[in-house]
Amino acid sequence: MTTQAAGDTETIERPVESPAEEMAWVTIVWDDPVNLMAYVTYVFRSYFGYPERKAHSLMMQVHTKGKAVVSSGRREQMETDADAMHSFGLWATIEKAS
Amino acid sequence: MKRFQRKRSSVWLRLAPEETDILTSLVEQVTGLLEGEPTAPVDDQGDPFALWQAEMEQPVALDLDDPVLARLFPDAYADDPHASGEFRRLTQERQRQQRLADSGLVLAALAASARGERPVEIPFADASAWLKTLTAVRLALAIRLGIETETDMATVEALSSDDPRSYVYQVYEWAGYLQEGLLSLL
Repeated sequence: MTTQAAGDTETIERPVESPAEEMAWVTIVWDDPVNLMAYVTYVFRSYFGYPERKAHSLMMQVHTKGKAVVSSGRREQMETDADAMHSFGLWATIEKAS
Repeated sequence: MKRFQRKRSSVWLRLAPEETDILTSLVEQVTGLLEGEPTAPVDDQGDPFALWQAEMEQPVALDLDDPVLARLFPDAYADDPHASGEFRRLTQERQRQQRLADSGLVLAALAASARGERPVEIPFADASAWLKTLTAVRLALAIRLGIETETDMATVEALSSDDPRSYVYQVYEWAGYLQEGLLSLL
């Protein structure tokens, strides 16, 4: 499996954030009727490196609650993670942590 | 004879000739969508290599009004179209190229099986490309079937065999079965 940082060298204009604000972003994976539970678990294990139990638990959260927070941290990292989720065919969005 | 087998560092998949045809066709349909349209005419200056180079480098316009493409390249920011647009602008091309590379790998493996005469070889290193390609195929089929929610799925499951969509649904299920089989051996 390959993962690549979303990127070129272009700079995006963004409002200046404090260090705490910078870290306060999350990636959310949303349920969809197509993706197999075994596949979603595989994605969480292989991309994030989560142990089987955590990957399975996150997958069940997506399945039963409709969504789950799969990672958190800096916005740029969340964009990389969301990009990876999309490349696996999952539906992911990024937002500020509440 | 088992459908899936794990030997050495590959998974081996037995397919009937019609099955290799169907899978090849499905993957080619997704590839076709991903190849999109060039955004500007190319000046080759009479040099075929320059033309090839220019075509490789120019951005491709993907029609995001196509619901399959919209699903393969979804919004990353639910309430911010501008941020979603920026995200897409930076990530779409690389993702598109990666998907084309993955699909190419699957098509090559299918071709190498000589329509299933030999089992299809899926080395572990290629497993991710196969899983992602099968996912793209299933997403495309589901969207063509009008499946957006679990309720839609139940409706399509219950279709009578006279309904032409019932065949498409069977193919969709079959692609899911292939994906499960591969996952079980990884």
